[in-house]
Amino acid sequence: MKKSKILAAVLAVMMLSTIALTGCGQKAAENTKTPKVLNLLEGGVKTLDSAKATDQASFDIIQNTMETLTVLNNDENVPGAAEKWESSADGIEWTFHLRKLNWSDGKPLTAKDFEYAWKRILNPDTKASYAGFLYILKNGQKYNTGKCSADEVGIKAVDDQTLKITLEKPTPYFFQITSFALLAPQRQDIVEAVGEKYGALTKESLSKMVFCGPFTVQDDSINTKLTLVKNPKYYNADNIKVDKVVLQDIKEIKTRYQMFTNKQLDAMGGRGEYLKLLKQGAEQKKWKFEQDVSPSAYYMQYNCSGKYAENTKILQSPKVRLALTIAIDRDGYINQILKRGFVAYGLIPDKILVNDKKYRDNVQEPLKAVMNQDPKQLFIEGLKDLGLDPNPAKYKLHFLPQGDSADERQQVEFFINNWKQKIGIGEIVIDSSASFDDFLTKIDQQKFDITLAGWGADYSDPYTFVELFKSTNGNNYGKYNNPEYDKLVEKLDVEVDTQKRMELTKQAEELLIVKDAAIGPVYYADRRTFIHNHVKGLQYPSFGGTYQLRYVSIEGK
Amino acid sequence: MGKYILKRASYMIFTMFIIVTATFFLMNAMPGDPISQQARKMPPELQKMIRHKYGLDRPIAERWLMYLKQLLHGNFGDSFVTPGFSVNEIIKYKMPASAWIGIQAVILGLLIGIILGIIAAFRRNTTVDYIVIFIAILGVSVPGFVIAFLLQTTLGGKGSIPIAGWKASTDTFAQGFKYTILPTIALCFGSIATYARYMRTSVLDVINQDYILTAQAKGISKGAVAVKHVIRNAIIPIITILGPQIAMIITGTLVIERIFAIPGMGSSMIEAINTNDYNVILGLTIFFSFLYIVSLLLVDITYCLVDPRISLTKKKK
Amino acid sequence: METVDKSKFRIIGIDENEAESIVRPNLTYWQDAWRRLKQNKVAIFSLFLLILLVIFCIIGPYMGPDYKLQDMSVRNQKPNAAHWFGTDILGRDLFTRLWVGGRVSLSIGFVGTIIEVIIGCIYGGISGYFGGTVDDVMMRIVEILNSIPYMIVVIILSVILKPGIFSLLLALCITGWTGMARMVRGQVMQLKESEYILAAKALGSDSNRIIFKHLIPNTIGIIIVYTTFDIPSFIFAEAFLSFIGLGIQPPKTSWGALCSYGQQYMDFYPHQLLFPALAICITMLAFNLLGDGLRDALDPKLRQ
Repeated sequence: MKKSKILAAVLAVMMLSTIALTGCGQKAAENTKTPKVLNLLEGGVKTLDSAKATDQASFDIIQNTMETLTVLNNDENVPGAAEKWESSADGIEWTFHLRKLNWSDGKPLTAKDFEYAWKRILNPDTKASYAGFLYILKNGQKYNTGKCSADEVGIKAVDDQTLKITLEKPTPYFFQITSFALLAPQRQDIVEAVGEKYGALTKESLSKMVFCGPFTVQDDSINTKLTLVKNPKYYNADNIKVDKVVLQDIKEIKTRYQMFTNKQLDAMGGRGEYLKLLKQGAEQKKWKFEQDVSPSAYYMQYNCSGKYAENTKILQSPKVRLALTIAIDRDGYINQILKRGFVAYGLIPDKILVNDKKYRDNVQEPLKAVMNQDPKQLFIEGLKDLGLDPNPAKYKLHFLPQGDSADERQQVEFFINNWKQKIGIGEIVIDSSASFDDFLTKIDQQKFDITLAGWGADYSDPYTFVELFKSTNGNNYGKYNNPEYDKLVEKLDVEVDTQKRMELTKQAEELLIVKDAAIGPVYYADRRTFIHNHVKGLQYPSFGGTYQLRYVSIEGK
Repeated sequence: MGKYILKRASYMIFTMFIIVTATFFLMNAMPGDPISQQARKMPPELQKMIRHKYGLDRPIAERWLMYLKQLLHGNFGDSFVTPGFSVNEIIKYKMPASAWIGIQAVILGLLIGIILGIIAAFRRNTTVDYIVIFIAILGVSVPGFVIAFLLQTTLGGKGSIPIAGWKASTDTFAQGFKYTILPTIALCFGSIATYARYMRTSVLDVINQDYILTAQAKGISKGAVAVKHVIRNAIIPIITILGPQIAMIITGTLVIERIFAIPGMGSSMIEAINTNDYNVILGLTIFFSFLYIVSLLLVDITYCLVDPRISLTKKKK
Repeated sequence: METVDKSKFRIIGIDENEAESIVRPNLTYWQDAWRRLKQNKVAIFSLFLLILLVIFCIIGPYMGPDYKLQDMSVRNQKPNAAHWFGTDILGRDLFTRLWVGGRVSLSIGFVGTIIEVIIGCIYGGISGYFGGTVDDVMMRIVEILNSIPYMIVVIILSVILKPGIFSLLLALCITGWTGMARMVRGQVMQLKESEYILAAKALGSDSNRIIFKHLIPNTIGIIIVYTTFDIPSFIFAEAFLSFIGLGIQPPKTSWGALCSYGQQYMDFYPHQLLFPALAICITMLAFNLLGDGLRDALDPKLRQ
């Protein structure tokens, strides 16, 4: 009896202290004028050093705290640090004229800061993973691999406001990537003073950071909870409408949903069953719903080398591969199992541009024309071509899923069921990978028959997808090898004319997906976001970081 | 006792050396290296260059010696994956949140668990006993995420208890406390069950001992028997599990930290292993095993203090 | 002092033949344990429940549609007449899946625990009984085993080994027994100082006899509690290990895997989590209550 009293007392004390504490918190908030605060989600941020960042979350913070040459507004490049620019007729030489900008410590931003930052990425001592991105600069690759000096690289600050860039060869997507957070300016004096710790999310390093974008990072931030505050020194500070943005890393969708409905979060993405629930809320006008294609494609990667397990030889036949591609019930998968994404019959997603024209608006998805074929018939024909027993039931294939999550495995069971029912393949075994690195090792060594692979575009041009399947590309895990395709890719690499690029890409896509069926498109990724009504103008750029916070405002919360 | 602790401490150095060595070689046997995941977007020559710069292309034995040398200077090295972060900083930034919640959960769990266990044992085979057993079984077999989620839906957001999240580093202890309420309850739920069950069994064992009968026969009051004889003797098995459990719980639990978005250590190790962040794996292993071994030592010392019959040094009385 | 009248007593005589006979039937340790277990109604009910679960695991899979059959027209259904426990996201019958999963989970739970108990008891018993240097060395080995990150060991195992029950058991037991070993050691250290051990030693019993006849039976209570707690952790760990490629691969399933699948949808289709979780709970409950009964029955101190 006595003990249960103690227990009750302990619990009561806990409850009381909670109430008392929360009471205090509320009073404090009432006294000051409420600043406009936006609460958003962001994954764990690794670094604020643009040269060393590799993940979306880090790029997100950088793009909102630093001013790149151009910035994105509704996925269009508009003037940022550069006021105006011009390029030579062959597209090799670019000149950017910078506006008068200041860093958050009051010092002026100059063209030198860009030159320093870009060369730092290419400097071999920086060990930047994204250095390959700047191989488009003249001598970029040579400098990075130690074959020439920094002075020979094609970027030069002519004076404080003028930046001159020389490319290795005409690169249609160069202008687009000038808004990429990787290419943000850096202050040589600060980077060198802080040294290895530059950009780390520790209190020490943060207090030494300087910013030139619309927000600065508060120095009590940690990698899972960052606070951005409006930068009063920003040239366009008058048009920045929120005072504070809190970005938190919340992994569980259940928790996100709870917080979103309690208005502790201003926006969240929807997937699975929550998508349905959130959509209902949007229909009742509780919040807004936005959806958009995001430039990533997911496809079945077949092991064309046919050198893995017992029956893999059959995958050498394009007909067998095409049969597998056709047999996938994409609508069922997208609408009932995955509940996100958009059905794909091609490799290039909707968003991707060829110069200024949308590729998909001009070229039909290649797989659509052959979807009416009977996969079983095709499969049997393929077997006969190889001189094998034409009974599909006699064959066994292995599927290698990428992750080890429960839902991923369930999804694989769906595909397997498709292939078993529509083609009658005897057995399809689900292999496993012990970790993501194990998966990469396995596909790299062709220890798989089929796997669901994905690729996110690095920039808006079909080339980022098409080059993946060149026979020499490191990401060509299926060892697809067709000289005809390689030739198309090589031509595409140097072609500048919009119409001709369009035509070459069309031929390559057709060859890859239908004629050779080296891959089987399944879906394009999507962005489905729910935003509270009081938030206006929150943009989700298709490339780079998650949010564009330059145009967001909070009204009538 | 002092000599014994000294002996154990010298064992500890040797044990840690074996742990570090074994982990080092096992870790290198895992597929991939710190660069391999980012390497997908790198041209091959760049991959080669970065590996060379980090010394990853050297023979494994050489790298092992290099690491040991570095350790002797008291340096755990830097993270490969999170630029500019040293292993020390990772521990410094992530440890406090895990430890805070962990310690609260251990205290609360121990308190409630032991009390429940004693009540159940003294009222053996009554309804009270069955209720306690039932709660205990629920506590162990209902997965932590279910309890955490139920807490979020029922208590979260009410009376401004946050659903998830953590205090800002400038907040005071009192301001931060509200963030710890739900995770603490969720975390201690499972351990309440464990402690209660062990305590019950152990108390039952002790009750049947002759010395309890003797004590009762001497006319000592029921309460005094319970406190002086029963509990003191029954608590030993709890101590055995408590040591490693404290080490485990204050170094963070993945599930609870994920659900409540707590910036703790729980995910650090998993993340490091998934990305092959070698220095972080080794540093955290050293840190965890140090805590673990020390907690075991404490358990052994507590044994003697609680139970006079146990002697650790094999001296004959 | 009260006096008793002698006339109240009467001589009934003595049968010389019965003087040597033993009234109480001569029972072995195990016969006696079984006799006492039978008297414990709760324990017998639990035993019955466990047997029922096992029977269902054997015949259950034949009582409904094939557990592998995907039917997209009946996805995520609530329990109904056609699908007693509802269906999952791929339209598979959860009743038959539950029992197919039970086969795997129960056998892993049993076998894993038995291995753990055997290794843990022997190791802990020896370490605790001999103490000194033996104890020091053996406990350092435990510390090393527990300190090497488990994930690394498991990843390497799954790269080296082929999926299957053997790999799974190996991964489960590779460090699992250490907790039991420490527990037994602690108990043995405490018990070995007691009077009856001293008596046994004085009578010239060897170490083997003392460990297995005296020390282990006297720690049985704690061992049983530890064991019953370990069964669900085996069941959950099995799911995790299967996901990274050790053990049971789809379309086969297990309770742990069913729980992981159900967890994702628990606020939309709670039945997908409820039934496998319930199955684990019932198994646990039965094991615990039976364990309590067994503990009472096997404890030599409670023998009358």
